[in-house]
Amino acid sequence: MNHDSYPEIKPGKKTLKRIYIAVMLLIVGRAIQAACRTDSTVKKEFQNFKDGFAFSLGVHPFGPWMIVGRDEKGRAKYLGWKPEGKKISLKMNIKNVEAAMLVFTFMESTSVAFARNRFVVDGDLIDALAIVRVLDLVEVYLLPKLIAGLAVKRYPKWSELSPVKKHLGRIVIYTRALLGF
Amino acid sequence: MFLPDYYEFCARVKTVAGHRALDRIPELLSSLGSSRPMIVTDRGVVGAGLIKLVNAAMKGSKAKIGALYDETPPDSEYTVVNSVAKLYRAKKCDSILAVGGGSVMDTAKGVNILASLGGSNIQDYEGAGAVRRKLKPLIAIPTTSGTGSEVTLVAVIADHKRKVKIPFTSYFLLPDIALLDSRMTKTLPPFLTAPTAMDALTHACEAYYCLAKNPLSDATAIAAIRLISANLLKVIKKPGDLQGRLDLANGAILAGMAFSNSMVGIVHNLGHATGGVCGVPHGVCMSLFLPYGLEYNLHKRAGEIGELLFPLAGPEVYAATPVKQRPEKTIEYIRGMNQDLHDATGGRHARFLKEIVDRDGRQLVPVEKLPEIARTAQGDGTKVYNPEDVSYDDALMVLEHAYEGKPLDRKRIKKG
Amino acid sequence: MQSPAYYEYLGRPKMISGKRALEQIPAELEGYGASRPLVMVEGATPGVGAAITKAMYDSNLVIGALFDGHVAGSTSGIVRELAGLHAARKCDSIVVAGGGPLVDAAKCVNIELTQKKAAIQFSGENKIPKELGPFVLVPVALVSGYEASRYAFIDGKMCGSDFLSPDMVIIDSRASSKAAPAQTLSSGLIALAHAIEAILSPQANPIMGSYAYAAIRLLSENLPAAVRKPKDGKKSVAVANGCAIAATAFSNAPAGVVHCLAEALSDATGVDPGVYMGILVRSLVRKRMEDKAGLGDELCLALSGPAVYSVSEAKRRPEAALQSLNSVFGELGNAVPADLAATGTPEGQLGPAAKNAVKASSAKLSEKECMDLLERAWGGK
Ligand SMILES: [Fe+2]
Repeated sequence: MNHDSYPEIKPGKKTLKRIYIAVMLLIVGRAIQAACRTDSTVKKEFQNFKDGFAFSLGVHPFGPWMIVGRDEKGRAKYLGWKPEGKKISLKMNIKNVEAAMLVFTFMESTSVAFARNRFVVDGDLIDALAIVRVLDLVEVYLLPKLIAGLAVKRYPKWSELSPVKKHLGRIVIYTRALLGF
Repeated sequence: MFLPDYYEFCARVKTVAGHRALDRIPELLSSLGSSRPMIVTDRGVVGAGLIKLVNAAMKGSKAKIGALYDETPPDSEYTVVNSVAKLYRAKKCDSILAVGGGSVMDTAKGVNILASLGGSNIQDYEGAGAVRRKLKPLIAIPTTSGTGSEVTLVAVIADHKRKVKIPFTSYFLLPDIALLDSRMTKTLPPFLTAPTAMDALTHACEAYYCLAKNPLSDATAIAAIRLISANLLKVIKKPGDLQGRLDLANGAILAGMAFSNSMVGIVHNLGHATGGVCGVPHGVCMSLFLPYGLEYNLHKRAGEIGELLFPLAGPEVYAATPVKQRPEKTIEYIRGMNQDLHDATGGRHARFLKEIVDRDGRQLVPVEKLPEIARTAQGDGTKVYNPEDVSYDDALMVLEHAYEGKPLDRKRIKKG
Repeated sequence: MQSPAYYEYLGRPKMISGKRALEQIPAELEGYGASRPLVMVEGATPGVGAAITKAMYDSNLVIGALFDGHVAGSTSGIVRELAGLHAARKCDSIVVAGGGPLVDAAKCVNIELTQKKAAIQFSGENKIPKELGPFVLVPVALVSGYEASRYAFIDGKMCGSDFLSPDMVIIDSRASSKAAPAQTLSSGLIALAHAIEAILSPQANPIMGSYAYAAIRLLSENLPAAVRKPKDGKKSVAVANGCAIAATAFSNAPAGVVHCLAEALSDATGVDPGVYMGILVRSLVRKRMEDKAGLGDELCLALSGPAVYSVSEAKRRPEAALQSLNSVFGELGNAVPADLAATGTPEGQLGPAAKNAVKASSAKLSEKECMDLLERAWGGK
């Protein structure tokens, strides 16, 4: 057998998909920060985390990631995309880029992706569940109903949230997420 | 047959089951290359004379019991795991026989991590992906037909100081062999047989409607329900019915295969929380929450819940019930089972939360505790796998109904 | 349903099936501490090697070697060469995409590398003393029916061991839809026969019954459409699921009369064993209906499905089950001849085939029952 006919292959990279995921993560990360100032539920979830809490959400093993932490006032703060040198209490990694694409193109909801073992969670499960609730809410704000309906189990009746939230909340979160303040 | 567009299924445990399955232990140990097993068990199991059966089965075997640990607490704790692992090493054991219920299995799995991978503190193996290779041989011999831990890949180990329960998960935590022997459950009294078997039935029902359902979890769930439904009352009325006991044990292991892959939902979510806050035994919570879980998910899973009527009530009832009425009939059937078990155990099998009492007749779940239970449930992982979202308000609403024992007010289920 | 007085069952492979399943390979291997697989694909099936390579992108894994040659038979020679390639590249696991001899060879490479001895020395039952290296099977078509089972062949000899069951079976339409229609048909019929014989076997038990049930339902509902529309990814995935699940049931049941006869006939005539199994299994079902043993509730339920089963009167359930089975073959149309005579098998082959089947079953089958079934199947009864 001529070994040369059967080469070693170092797998390449899916650059475009990773860029897409990185952009989505950036938007979601900033949206969490924004939602924490506008939405009382998200705010409460962050108040409940321990001081110095930070979590990363991203793709195993090479990223991209986003890191969001809780500041001393109990608010969410987007901490960028580099996990290096940060103390991260909860790591949520999607097992591979393609699975992450399913999640970030909203073909698979967070819950379904969890149920399908697409996530590896390292850290306190109670915190992870709180983050899932936050992600669901942020998706409701960011996405049109048609798509968000696929991404979350139960699309909230806006009457459950205040009418101010319905439009204003959405606009504020959008602007802040895009402009990053 | 339902095939989701993605699924995973793993039940990599050799099942050895029968009326005299224990007699196979020597041969099984030698096939696993082991000659000095350690027995991990608890006082209750020893008291029931079940370890004697194991010892008798070991007679004439080349393998010798290296150590016996019989003080596993009802809640497996990490300090216990650490000290049992020490004993395992000191006595130069090379495998584990876990004889008991869920806590014994959890402890044995934890001990196996330390025994195989080294170290003196199980907490060093917290976190995803910490266990990555084959561990020492582990034979699981359940003494209740319920938890299914003989086929699950998780060990839940508590840290009482930190007040947390840490789940250790890895495919390598799966026992090599699950050994079911009808003699091991024969002496389990009816008031304990009922809730443990209802736990198994709940595993199968929840597996059938939860998010990760798939062809193999469905097939094992259906077989489990057929076995449990046909035998539970029979065994309660005649505890010495060995064939019925074996059928229940087989039902429980099948249900374990189903739920460890499709997962469980709201029934376990509320059950874990009620257990944690008020100390109610797991199986008791399962039987009384099961009809509510079905009602709560009805609008999303009517088809599946209707299909459950077939294994529960048999082909005749299934055929005689129009498709549209099947889901309601399933719920009614489970409520009927609880009533029958209540009657057959002289009222010891609780049908609703208010009815649960401890040995001194004190109510275990006071109504003031419901909000705390609902809050605790929000931090329990099973919530994710339930088809419908379960918020704090939802959980509290279901708990209030289950407290009184009245059917869910369907108008109060939020449907988004 | 009743539990037998004693049984054993092992469903070893982890099943991973569906959307982006191939991309799970790196994470799964990582769980075993492995990151340099030898990847073996059938060179004649284009696209599978590329799909697997692409699925490894953005992972920690390096493909130690991508073997895409043709393996005509699993021989000691080819196994030794492949083991050499595996060792030279310092691989730590095996991923094989395909069916038949390629998979046999891959399993034997795994024996040779872990046991450090020629694989042929481990032929027979339970001769392998310990766990082998991580092994992933990606089904294209499971043409021998042994691929996902606990068996492997080398130089025509069989090795049987639980350690030979794949650790993972990863079903993805990017591989399964590459099977030729004839291969899909053959794989499906073999699996259907295996699952039916498992339920009917004396070793039947509730777990085996569940696996066989899932396999029979998946195949009955999807095989005809998958043969008609070979490019339909969803159907091919459903059939591959049925085949892999049936193989696990088959690993736990003794080889039945249909299986042994079909292999004996196929060895003699070269006609596809799947076609023989399809013909023979229908005759077996008819025969059992006349026997005292009967079909049994479990097989009736699996063949009919709960809807049809429950509306049939208890007495009429076997007939309903046979009808359901017949309608599957009806949908398959001319692809499966109605009887043995129509396969072009010389009648003179029946006697020797019966003898060989008895031998293959280690005399667990009798020549009489073999001849009886062959004669029925000859006339399509
Ligand atoms: Fe349970």
